[in-house]
Amino acid sequence: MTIDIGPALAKLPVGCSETTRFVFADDDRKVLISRFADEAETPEAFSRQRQGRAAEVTGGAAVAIVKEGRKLDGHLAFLTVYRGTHRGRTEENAFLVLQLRPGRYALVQVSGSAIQSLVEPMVASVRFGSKPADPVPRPLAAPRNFGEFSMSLPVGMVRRTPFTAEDAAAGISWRIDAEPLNAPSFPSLAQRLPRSPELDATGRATTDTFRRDDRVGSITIAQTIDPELGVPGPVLIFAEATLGGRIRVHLEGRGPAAARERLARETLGILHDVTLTPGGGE
Amino acid sequence: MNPTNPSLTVCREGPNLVTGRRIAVIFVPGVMGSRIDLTDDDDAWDPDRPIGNMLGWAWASSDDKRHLLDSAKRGVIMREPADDFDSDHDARVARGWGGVRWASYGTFLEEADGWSFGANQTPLYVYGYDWRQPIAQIGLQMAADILGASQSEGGRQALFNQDRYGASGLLGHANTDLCILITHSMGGLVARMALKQCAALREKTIAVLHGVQPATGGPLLYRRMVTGVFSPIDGSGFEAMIFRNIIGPGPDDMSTILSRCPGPMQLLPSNLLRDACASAGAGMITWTEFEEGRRTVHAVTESVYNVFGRDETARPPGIVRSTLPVAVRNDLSSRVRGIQSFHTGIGRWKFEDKTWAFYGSGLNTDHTVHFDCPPVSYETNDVYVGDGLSVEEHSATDPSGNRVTLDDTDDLIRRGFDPTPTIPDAPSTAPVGHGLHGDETVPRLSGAALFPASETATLAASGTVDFSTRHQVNAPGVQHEPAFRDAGIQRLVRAWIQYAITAL
Repeated sequence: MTIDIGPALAKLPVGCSETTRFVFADDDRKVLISRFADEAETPEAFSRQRQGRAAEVTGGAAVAIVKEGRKLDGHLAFLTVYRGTHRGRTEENAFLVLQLRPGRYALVQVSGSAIQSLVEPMVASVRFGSKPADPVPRPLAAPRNFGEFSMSLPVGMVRRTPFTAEDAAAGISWRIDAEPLNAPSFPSLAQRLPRSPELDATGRATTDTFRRDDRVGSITIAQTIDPELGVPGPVLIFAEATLGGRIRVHLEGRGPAAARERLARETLGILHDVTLTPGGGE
Repeated sequence: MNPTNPSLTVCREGPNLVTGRRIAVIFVPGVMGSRIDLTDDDDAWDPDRPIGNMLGWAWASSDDKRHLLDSAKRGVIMREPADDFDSDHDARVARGWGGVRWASYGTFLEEADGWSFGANQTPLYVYGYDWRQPIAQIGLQMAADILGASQSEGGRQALFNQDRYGASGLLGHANTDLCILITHSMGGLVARMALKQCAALREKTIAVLHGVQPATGGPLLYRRMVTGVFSPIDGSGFEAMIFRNIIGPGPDDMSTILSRCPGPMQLLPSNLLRDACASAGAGMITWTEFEEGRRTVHAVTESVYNVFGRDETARPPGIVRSTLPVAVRNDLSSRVRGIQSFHTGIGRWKFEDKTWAFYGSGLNTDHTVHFDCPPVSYETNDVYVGDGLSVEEHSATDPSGNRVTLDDTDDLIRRGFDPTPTIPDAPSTAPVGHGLHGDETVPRLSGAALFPASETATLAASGTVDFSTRHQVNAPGVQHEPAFRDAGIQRLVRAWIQYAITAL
């Protein structure tokens, strides 16, 4: 499985599936997108249950000003928009629930101030599968691909979370991200995908350099200590590599101690196979 | 008192003169009471922002919340409050006040900040913590942050001062070598682990007061992980609201969401509480079996950690639910090992001769948990209910030959949980089931586990207690979550600080 991580395309190890919980934001607004399995039969059933919870969590301070079922590109959807005032501040939250297929959903949350006018064009831009995107209404940017659907986001929103993948049965997880080396925001990427605190603390890490063709970097492998039991815990791998002197790829893997060799092998495999995105990516 | 200006310390000594000391008073909150930036996911746990944050938690899927609460991910305690403090903002932020839920602790902090103790200076600090982490880990981190130096214990990795209070730690910021610890609920376990693991912290701690601490764990979370939120008894308050709307409400949700979150899981009950219940005449976990005609009430005598490690169909039910994906079940099994390790490690340990405690009593609380377990095997038939609809009906034959219909929720999902069981031969004083046995969350025998009855006083209206002989105070009617908002508890705490300073 190959995923688009912005300026690079990364090939995930066999058995891993992409699980990214996307967060995009600008100064005033935030968009969160997650996909998940749920037993609810429809987006409306899921939303009704959540509306009940939301009423108690906010102490009635948030009022649902929109509660509407939709059909988007042939899929059931339900939109709920809240407006509430807390300590003098008015805040808005919109929750769009999309049925990707029976038993599987996407939740799109848009939050911030004065978001309601943005939500409608965002909802209208939702497309499923590999259908080509329609012309995008202003003020939205070109559609982004979220694996099982695509949607346009407001112009200027920056991705704030790395891509993630998981082989749940094996207990292995990955975080991966990339950014052009000359991008002014490069330091912020390093902050988004920091070295794990365990890796910083451990004295049992070993680091090797990595070089192949036009890519060079380093791979650190650490045997952590399980903080619950005080015994050897997960193996953690932190790797980074530059590709052709143009982009840097960050990679963090975690898995049980028994999977150490597999993690090392798959880390090398990801770094070997990663390629530049045609056109430069996001 | 001017905690930011040490030059005001009174330190004249001699005949007819007073000696003033500077002692940092550190308040350690309970579970979920700390506000955490979840930086890896660009999210937060912030109960002070119901619309801006808690609303999102109420809508998120269980799987998302499992990942957000994964203790392996980075958590940073917030410095700034959700809203600026009305006064002394910068100094309060520097003392950690922004790191805890203001709605829970603001009243107490503002009250306690105004207390004075003669010539002594007692700047009030707050130690918020990442409650997702294993408690031993939090304790080690707390010691490092207070002392301003890295700490390690046993096989654990070194933990470094996070500079939350500056490079010289909380004590350095407070310009003192002495501290008093005041804890709420899980904060008590955190502080005990900090003190147990770090001799240097013990040297600088003159006294500790634990409030409503589940000292040997409590059955509430275990019961909820089997039954889910049970409306008739899972009533009001912040914690109940969180469990109904964010951590729950169903047992599968709860188990999934907490599966990578060791801190709260280590609040499950210990073998020590099992033994205390048995001594009081009540089994902590009891059950009957359908196949026996429910003639015998069984009580857990084996290690409770063995019980927890089983699935929900076991007798009594475990928490590693068969209905969950393998990855989640593996995580839950790891948590159970962590619960055992934690309780085995801490036992009844306390900072001897420097510890006091109070606990709530007389309020409806889960003290023991009873299940009328459903049959191992039963029949399921479709029953036509009209209008072209049919429903599944479950039934089994009991030992008397009677056909018994099983309720989907009460019998199969909640495993026959009975909040007010009749236990033959239990003395009338035994804390059986859900009754007037604690502070609504912590059962009395756990809250009171650190001291014998002979060292326990009952809270008087004046808050006056002879702390030299009474190390523990029973506070009838004091609720768990708002305990420190209670005027009687505030008087008690003030009197205790005065005593601790005087006795120094």
